[in-house]
Amino acid sequence: MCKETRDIHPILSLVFSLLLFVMGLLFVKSTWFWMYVVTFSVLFLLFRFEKLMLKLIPFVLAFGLVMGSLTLINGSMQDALYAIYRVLALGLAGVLSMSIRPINLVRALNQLRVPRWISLGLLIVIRFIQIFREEIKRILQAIALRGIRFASTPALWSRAFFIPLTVRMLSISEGLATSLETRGFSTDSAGSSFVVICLKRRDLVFSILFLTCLTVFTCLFLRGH
Amino acid sequence: MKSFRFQAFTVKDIVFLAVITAVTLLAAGPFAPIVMTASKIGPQAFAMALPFALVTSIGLRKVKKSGSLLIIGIFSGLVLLLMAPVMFFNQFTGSLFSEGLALLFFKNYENRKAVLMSSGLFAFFTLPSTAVVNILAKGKSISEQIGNPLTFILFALGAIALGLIGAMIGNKISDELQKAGKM
Repeated sequence: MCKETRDIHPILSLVFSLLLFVMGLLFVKSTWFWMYVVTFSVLFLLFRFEKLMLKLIPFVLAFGLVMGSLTLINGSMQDALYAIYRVLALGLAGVLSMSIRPINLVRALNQLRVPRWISLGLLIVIRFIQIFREEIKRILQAIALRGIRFASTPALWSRAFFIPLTVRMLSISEGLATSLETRGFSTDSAGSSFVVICLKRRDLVFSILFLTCLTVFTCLFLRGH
Repeated sequence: MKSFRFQAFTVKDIVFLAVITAVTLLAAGPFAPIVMTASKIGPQAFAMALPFALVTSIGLRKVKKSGSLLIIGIFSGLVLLLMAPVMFFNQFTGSLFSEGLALLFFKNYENRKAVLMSSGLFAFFTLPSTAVVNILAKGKSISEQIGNPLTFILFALGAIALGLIGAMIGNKISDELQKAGKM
């Protein structure tokens, strides 16, 4: 079953995100860099990435200001501007990479016959970051309730933090591995997917527009403008 | 037996290494602003050395198979690829070099020193790839990246020292859990 979504194909998003960031870093010192940012921002708006862009704006503003200010300590205004431009390049790439849904990325990787241990591992890492953030919060609350403070007893605090965390890591991974094995998951057998991620017309249009814009800017860069 | 051998990874190993990677990334999270704002090479490896070594050493004590650190490097690199593409190469080469060196000396992870060396030097070995990526992507020369040589040497040595301290703490935690029968 081919899943109909408005998202761009995950592999395309990933590749374009990489291209956008790497090329952005190359173009940072060009006088037309702002045009690069505006062009791709317009392209993203056309393809309805406005929610993600709004989410990223505070990060880009805050991080850009921090980067610029830190660069000003040792460098000139021009260097500070380049530092802000680098954050803008990161922000642009971030729009595309944040649009990727982890499960769709894993499905697309499976379709590309990427080894299953890689796609499984990637999915676990992405999913478990949030789970362990919660676990860490709970462990820290328990430490606070027991009145252990890092400033007064760092060794005891570390022990009270790392031992439960490692035990949780072990028990969660054991449970997850058993659950995968009982469902017949194996690293050496090919799996099947109920949902197929396929290339849509929208992906094609996006790719053509994206690559055209990128080619124009690369030509400008190579001509030394 | 002290010889190099490659054992296949089971689902259990892969899951544990992925969970370890998630915790490693979380532990290194608070240091991310330092990494992203540092304009010279050295501070990044120095800041990441302790959390990376501590958590990965626990992973290597549990999954004592050649290639475990490389798998952690690939997983963390793939996740970081979505945020900062250059980090993938950093993680991949860092894990490849440090594990390669440890296995060259100790052949396998049965020896505790191999775990210490492999996870302890992980952050330090991200320095060469950072330098190469900066040259290729930002056009920065080596001297421009290093800045003051003395500061760079101090940061590099600090990354090794903190990495080894982190790996020692990780080993100590693993010992304790092994005694308790949890590992």
